[in-house]
Amino acid sequence: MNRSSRSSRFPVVPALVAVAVAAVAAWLQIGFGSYESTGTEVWAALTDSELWGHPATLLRLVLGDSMADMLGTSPSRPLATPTLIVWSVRVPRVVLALIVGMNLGIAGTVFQGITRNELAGPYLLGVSAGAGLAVLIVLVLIPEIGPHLPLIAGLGGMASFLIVYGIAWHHGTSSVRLVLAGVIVAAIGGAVQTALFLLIEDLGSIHDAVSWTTGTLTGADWQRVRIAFPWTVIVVALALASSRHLDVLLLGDERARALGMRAERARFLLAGLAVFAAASTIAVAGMIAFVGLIVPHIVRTVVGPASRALLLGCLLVGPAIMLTADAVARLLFSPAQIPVGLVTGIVGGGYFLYLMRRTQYLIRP
Amino acid sequence: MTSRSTATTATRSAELRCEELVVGYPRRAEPVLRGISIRVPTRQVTTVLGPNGSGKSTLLKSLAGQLAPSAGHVYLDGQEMVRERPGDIARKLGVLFQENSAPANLTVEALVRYGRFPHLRFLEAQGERDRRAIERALRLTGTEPIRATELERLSSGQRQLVWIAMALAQETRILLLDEPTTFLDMRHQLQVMNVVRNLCDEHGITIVAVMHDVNLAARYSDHVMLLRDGAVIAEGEPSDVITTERMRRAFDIEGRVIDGSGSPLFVAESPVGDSPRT
Repeated sequence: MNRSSRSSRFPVVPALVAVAVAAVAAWLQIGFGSYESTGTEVWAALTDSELWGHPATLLRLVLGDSMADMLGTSPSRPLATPTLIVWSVRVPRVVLALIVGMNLGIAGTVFQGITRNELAGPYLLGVSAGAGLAVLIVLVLIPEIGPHLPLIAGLGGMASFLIVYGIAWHHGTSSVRLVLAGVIVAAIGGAVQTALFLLIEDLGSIHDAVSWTTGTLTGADWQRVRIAFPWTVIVVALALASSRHLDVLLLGDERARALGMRAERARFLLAGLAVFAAASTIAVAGMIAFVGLIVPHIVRTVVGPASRALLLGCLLVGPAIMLTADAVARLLFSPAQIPVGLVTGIVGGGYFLYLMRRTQYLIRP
Repeated sequence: MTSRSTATTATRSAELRCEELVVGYPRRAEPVLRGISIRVPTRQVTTVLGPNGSGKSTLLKSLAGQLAPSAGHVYLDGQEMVRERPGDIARKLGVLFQENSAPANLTVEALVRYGRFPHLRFLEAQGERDRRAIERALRLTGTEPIRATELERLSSGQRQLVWIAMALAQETRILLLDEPTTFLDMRHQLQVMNVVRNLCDEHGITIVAVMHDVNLAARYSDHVMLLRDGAVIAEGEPSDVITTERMRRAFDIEGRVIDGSGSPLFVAESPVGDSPRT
């Protein structure tokens, strides 16, 4: 029996390109920065035997003190400055960019699937409005719970997703109603956010708020990796497991039901999963524009519309784009850094301009 | 046919009927179907005819379990449809809708593969049985040569056959078709109806098709149901149902029936009255 179909063959070259781009960007991120060092020094720091020879030290670095104490690992050995900088500042930033890129790609793919709209992004269903609003409320009204900001941002995103669902519900939901409800909640949430901005008095808080709402990986550390990593594993596994449901939902509710799927329930669960992915990236990196939108787009041009291939592709292309954008954000005006959300916004907008000029239609019926 | 195979097929053949079925839509005061009781003849081709708005598609969707009745019952294999799990229904009954949409660059085979959805558990990979069902569906609809083609490159006739193939991959004993030939040219109309006839004759599939072309329906079906204003006004063999009086009653038209070598041919001549019915 011949292999099922020609189009489902693994696209080796594009996958290698994505991996290469990610590797180059990661190397730039680890090798360059305000603390200057040569390639050999960086390599020596990366492969430092003080770390690799003593797993307890590496574990303590990655898992954090409290978890390492819980596991009962021995205390850290002293590390050289280059090793410390590479391992506690630059490597976690790379890992975080990887995680964020994957999550955004998956969230975008799922949202584009359930809304049957290739212009849908991970922040579509009110997620950004809710998260942004939650951040501002905390910064303005209850600054004392500031340390829990990541969690609160994520929860805010999920809460407003539920509100969007409630608004869209009328004898069930539909793709169009969900998108409209998302726009409504985003508009109102945005307005209230702006109002809260006006109430902020000190410049530091304004800076914080802007960072959150444009998205940045500045200050990334293992702590943030620890927040995002478990959710990422869950999100990736669940998304891949439900790729068949996503495929069938793309055919419309009527068809999905005729194929024996509870379309309404499947859509809600998938939307919940995507919101979860988006909210967890907001929690660790703020709202990064366009990545979740263009990553599935790029992957689709290579692998076609089947969800499984799309999701797998996003696991490669998401990190590649996120790492590249973050390298630009960190190194272009070095030592000054700009939020990565600005880079992705400009590049993402440009990509869409290119798409618009190249194709007659953005949305295929 | 041996007695053993009759016994197995008898238990496998699914039975579809409805009783006093009333179906309406939320924004309409009047129900679309007003108490329909029918039994779909097993292993036959049944066509549903009637003017626009008579409730043909609504009847089909209700029989497919897609619309919840406001009163009355739909039974599939003696089980009330609304109580059945969607997955169980989808293994017994396949549907072709009037309008279908799929990503434009999806390949024919990928779409047909989705027809296996109701047979697969969560996380279960497609196996040999699924592959066989997909091959069979492609073969029966003659879509094998275009299996790797993207949907957007197909003519509407080919596309219709592909959607039928997807429903066939479901391996159901019942197939419901909503206007399978309406937007097709004559050649493709005949092609689709030949596939339908073959599915019934060679594979014992029960078929219900909503149609507009009275003569095509007469030629290809064993049983005809004539609908008007949400009620069945006649049903039976094509030659019994397609008569001048009944066509006048159903469609408000005058015409005559001529012999079309075995099946009746209706020639419409003029509308009855000055204004169309509301």
